Amino acid sequence: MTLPSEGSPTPFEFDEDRGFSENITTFLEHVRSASPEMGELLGELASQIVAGDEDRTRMRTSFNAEIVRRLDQSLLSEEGGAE
Amino acid sequence: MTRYFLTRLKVEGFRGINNHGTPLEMKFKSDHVNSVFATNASGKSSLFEALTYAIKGEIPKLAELQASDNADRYYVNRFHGAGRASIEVDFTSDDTPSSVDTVLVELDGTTGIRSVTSPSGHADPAQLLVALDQAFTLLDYASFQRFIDDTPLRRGRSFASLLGLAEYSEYRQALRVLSDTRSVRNDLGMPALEATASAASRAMPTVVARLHAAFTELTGEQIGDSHDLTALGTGISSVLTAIPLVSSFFEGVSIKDVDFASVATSLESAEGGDERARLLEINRVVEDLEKLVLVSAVNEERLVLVNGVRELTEQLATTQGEHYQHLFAAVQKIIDGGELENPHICPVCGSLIERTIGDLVEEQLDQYATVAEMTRELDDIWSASSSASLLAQIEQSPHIGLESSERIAHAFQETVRMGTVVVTDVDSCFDRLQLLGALVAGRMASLVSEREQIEASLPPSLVALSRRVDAARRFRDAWEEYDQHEVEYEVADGKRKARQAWIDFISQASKTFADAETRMTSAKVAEIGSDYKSMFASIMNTQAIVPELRRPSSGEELRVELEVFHGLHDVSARAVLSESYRNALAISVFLSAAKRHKSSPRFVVLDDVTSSFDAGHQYFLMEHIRSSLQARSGADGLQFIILSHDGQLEKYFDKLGNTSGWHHQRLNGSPPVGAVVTHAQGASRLEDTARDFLNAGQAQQAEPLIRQHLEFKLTEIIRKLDIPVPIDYAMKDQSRMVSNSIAAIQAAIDLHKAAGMLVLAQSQEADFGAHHVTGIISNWVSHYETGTAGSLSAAVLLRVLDDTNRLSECFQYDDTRNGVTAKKWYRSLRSR
Repeated sequence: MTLPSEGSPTPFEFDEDRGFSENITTFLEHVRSASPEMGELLGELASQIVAGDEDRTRMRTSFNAEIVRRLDQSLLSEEGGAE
Repeated sequence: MTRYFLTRLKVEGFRGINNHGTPLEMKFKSDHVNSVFATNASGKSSLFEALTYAIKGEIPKLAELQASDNADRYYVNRFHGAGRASIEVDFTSDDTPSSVDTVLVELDGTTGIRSVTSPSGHADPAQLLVALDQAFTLLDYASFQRFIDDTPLRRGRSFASLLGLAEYSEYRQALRVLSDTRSVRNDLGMPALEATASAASRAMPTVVARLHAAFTELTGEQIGDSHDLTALGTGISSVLTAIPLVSSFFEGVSIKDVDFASVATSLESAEGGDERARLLEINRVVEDLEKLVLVSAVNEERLVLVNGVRELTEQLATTQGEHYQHLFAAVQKIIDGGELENPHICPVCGSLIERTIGDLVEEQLDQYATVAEMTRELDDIWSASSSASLLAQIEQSPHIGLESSERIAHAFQETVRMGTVVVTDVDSCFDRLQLLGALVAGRMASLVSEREQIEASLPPSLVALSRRVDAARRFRDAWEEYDQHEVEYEVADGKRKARQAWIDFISQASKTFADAETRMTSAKVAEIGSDYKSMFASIMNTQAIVPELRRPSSGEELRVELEVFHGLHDVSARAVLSESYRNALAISVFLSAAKRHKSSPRFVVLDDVTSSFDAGHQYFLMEHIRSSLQARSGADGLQFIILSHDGQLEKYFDKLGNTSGWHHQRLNGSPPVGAVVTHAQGASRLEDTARDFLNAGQAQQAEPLIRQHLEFKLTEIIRKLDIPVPIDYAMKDQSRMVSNSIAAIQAAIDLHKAAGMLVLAQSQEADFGAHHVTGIISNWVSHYETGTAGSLSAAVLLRVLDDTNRLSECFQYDDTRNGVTAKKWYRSLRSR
């Protein structure tokens, strides 16, 4: 899986005329276009990616725990669908 | 976006500003540079702190105090009658000047509750304050000092904030944390999944080999490459169904469902005897022991574990042991709790440290965190290994019969789990495993030999049948084991692949974000490049030193270099620049960034930022603000509010105070007990309040107000008549301000009189020198300046007030030109 980035003909850019929230939305759309399933997951959990220095470890562990839960759930759903 | 000017500030009961019932109120002009001068201890810092608290919700220097200092007790003025602080601020929209939003911040000194409301009806005043809290809004000397002294990484992050890109920097850091390979792999349980999948994958060929052996033994055929275990099972059932003695057990039944215990009982009863039973038992034991035979993976696993333990030992050597870990954690707690007074002084030995203690502790704790993660990884590898499984099974096998004291598996597992394992432990463990493997092999050889002897004593046909039935059972058992490993592998591998896809995704997403953020910030740095360079050249009046901010193409660091330093190139700014140059550089960077900012505040408050400047550099900076940066200078122009206690700067402010584009005010006061007032608020309020106190017999409360009133009257005379004063009179000991002023006025009178140019009437001159000054000084000033004013009575102080009021009359004349008599100030001591 690759995302268009540095070295690619059209690297992702922030638009200075837009606010931070709008730029984050564009960024999430950009990564979703390259990997819909994972991009969807990031989009759903994006609100958790806000923390000061002192909270980052806690943010990381709870964020990743949620990622594990959702990935496993997705696998179970796929198995259920396959049956 | 609507941007705001700061046009009014009203403060009561906050820090040094007591002003109970008579708040200090200051107005600022949006299209002017606003300067505020105050001598030391006149309430200037409290004014800056009031704005800081209103906008930021705290005062950094109080927030940094140790918990034991109870910083919360020092926000509200300790002498305020109601124990309550209020800060009211007007913000005027730059696109609609008639639109004024008033925000009232109140703090209850007893409960510590802060409230934010809007008397003008703003829908969300708290959010307005948040929007106004930008890195350039409130600047003091420390802001600039930090910028130069910070590490490049911290400077880069604070600079992102200055450029209005703090949220991007924070998001970038958060994504970097989420994509940190080692942490995310551990959080997602990757080592454990990999170990489980690997163990299952390694176990399957062994099981398949057993399947093949059992099938061939029973049917005499080779399986070849077939993995269709159902077909093979059906083949086995067919073979055994054809044998009458056991056909009833196999006919129409899947091999997985055959009741082998009943088959064994049936065979025993067909030709009973202990030997038959022993033969079956030996077969079962041999089969159990076959599962305990050491596999080739053991040697690979030993190598992996030894290497892992070596790496862990090396990492452990970078730390200083468990006691130091507790120490670092405790220091981190102290830092987090804001109890560390100076981040550059060791709290234990007091020695000066170049880096901050926070950085050092963070680095050390990171080493411990890496050890913990490596330990967890090693524990996962060992737990999922064939060796761990074999060691535990052999030690617990009833066929080997070890005493619990002879078992080492649990103890070894604990040393791995705790991270205390060393290479010799691994070697001992694997040597022990090899020894037990040899024991298993020896036991099997002995049982196989016994089985051969029993089989020789039994009828060959029955022996052969027993062996075939037993082969069928072994095939069934291996099949079930194969299924189990297959499920384990598929589940673990499926999860591993999905999680690896996430790791790849978040790593790439983090890089994409970081690259875009770097490009945006670098472009902003380049944008302000010419601004801060020309501003620095303008303030320091030099072309020989050219600063440059450098940001690497990847990473968040921001380096402050000198592009040119007296002909040299690429020199470290921190290494060679004196304090004033460093300060000028930081001011240039901050104000250049502020000028290009597009966020809510369109004002900058500067508090004593020129402390390290001489008069020339102060002048150049103020001129640059006046001519190039202030709101009138263009669409990006800013409103400036400049607070200073510098006497030299006061002269410059005073000179510009009456010109267009510059609004100057002075603060007088005696905080924290007395009131703080501006000249605009007039002296009459001081006098009225002082009289109220004196009439109530409260001389001590009136005394600071009388001093302020007298200072006001004397400086008014000096200003109105343009009387020269010593260059440092405002900076001298504040308690001597009154006598310094009187001395300056008297000296000017004497000079003009000696030159025959004095415009004052003889009576006025005499009144000033002989009556008022003598009266005031003898009655009060000398007492006040020697700290004995408290001994004077209220009646005497009322006379001092009267004398003070009549002082002005000595410098005024009756103007009758318009038919009415009006008091007018002399233009100077030599002319009307």
